[in-house]
Amino acid sequence: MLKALHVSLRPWRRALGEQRRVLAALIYRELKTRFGQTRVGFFSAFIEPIIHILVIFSIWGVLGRFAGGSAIDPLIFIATGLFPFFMFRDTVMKITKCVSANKALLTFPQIKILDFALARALLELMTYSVVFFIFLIAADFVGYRVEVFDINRVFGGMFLIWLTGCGAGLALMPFTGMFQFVDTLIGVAMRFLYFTSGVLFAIDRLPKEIRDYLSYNPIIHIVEYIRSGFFRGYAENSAFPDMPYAISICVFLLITGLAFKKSLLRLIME
Amino acid sequence: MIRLVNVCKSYRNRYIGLKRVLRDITLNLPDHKSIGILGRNGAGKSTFMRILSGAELPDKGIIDTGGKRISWPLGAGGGVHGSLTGRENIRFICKLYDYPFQQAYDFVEEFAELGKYMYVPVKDYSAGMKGRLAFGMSMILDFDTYLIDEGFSAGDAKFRKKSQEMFDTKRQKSNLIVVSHNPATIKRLCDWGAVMHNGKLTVMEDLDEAIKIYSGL
Repeated sequence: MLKALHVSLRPWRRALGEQRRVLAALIYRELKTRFGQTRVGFFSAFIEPIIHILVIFSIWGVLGRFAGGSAIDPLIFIATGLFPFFMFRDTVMKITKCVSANKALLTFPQIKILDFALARALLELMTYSVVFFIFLIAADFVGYRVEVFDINRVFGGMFLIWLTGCGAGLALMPFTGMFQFVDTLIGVAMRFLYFTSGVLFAIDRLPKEIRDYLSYNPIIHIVEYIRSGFFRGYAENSAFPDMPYAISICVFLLITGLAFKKSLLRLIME
Repeated sequence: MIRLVNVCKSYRNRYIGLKRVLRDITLNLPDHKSIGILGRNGAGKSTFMRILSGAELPDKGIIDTGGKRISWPLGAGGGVHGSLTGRENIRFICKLYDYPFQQAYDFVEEFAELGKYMYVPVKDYSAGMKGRLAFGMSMILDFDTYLIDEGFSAGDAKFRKKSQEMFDTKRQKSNLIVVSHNPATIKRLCDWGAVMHNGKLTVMEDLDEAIKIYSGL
């Protein structure tokens, strides 16, 4: 019995070993192409989100939006929405673009298109997790109040928003191969999502009708979920976050994305 | 023994519809024989190589490689990444195939004679340098069967002589499957010949026969 099991596990073990090698090689390559080209290296991953946060923060300062006397620090509020959202956005973008970026590497028989997608997505997850973490540490260090109320919500939410990004990226990937304008469309959609995902505002300040519309956006639920891990009592007694909804959308996107895989493969080879 | 039985592959093209690239390809290649496949552009040679390497699956048919290690299709610049340096490209291959880096690096450095260019992104290489790197990289690993796509004759006369010797060494333990539209290349490297035309493969144990048929196409 044990021997039989051993025999049947062997091809699996070999396949897993190969999968690990493929991912290691691809992540190495992505790391080099993303951060190895400039002198600033990994620091470049900080530039966009930090400039973004600073701009919003100063606009809010000029508008006098900080007068509310809320217990929530505005800087931490923006950061806890912005980093997860950017990770989602970049995961989608990186996956949808991986076809054109890596076609040359399909020379190697063991590398499949899903490996590219996974490698790039994993790199986004790692990069943004590190950048987010360092940002929070630094903010705490210079005197902003950073507290983690529920670490599971933070990690769970980050993982879910990343997974949703993977699903959306995979589901959209075949279309970017088919039509040129899909890339532009995704860009527009991302901008729209940015303004409707609660990155810049607290939902409970909005009128109910708008809140109802926004509740169709799964990202806003995940962003709120992550924030509820940072701020005690945040989003309590409200319809947000509706996690069963967000999780079902994520699963739906992943299944759709994986179902498209076959049609996608044909497309790339042509 | 590499065995192919009735392998078919077709693609759907947006403009011309269904194109049958490979039609019922059958091949029995013994381990010690190298075969050269002649064919004009678009005859299906590259698709054939991709299917042999396992990068693509056939629509129909059986491919039995007998558990042998088959290379990726080696061609001019294939598998080399432009935004990485030569050194990084070698590290990529080593990670992919689980091969000790230093050993691989020393080998390619000596073989390809790129000097300081090992630390320069490949997109800044000349065509000859890129070809030398690609060739060196594909000779790191010991495969049972090497798939060689046409145009794999990079560099000047000196380098060509060196790569020729390399192939001769490799051929003692491995065999080659070469596709080309140049009969001279195939005559130098192969024992058997074959002609691919309109997706059909005709195998001939007499190489000169194959060259004669190809010239008549």
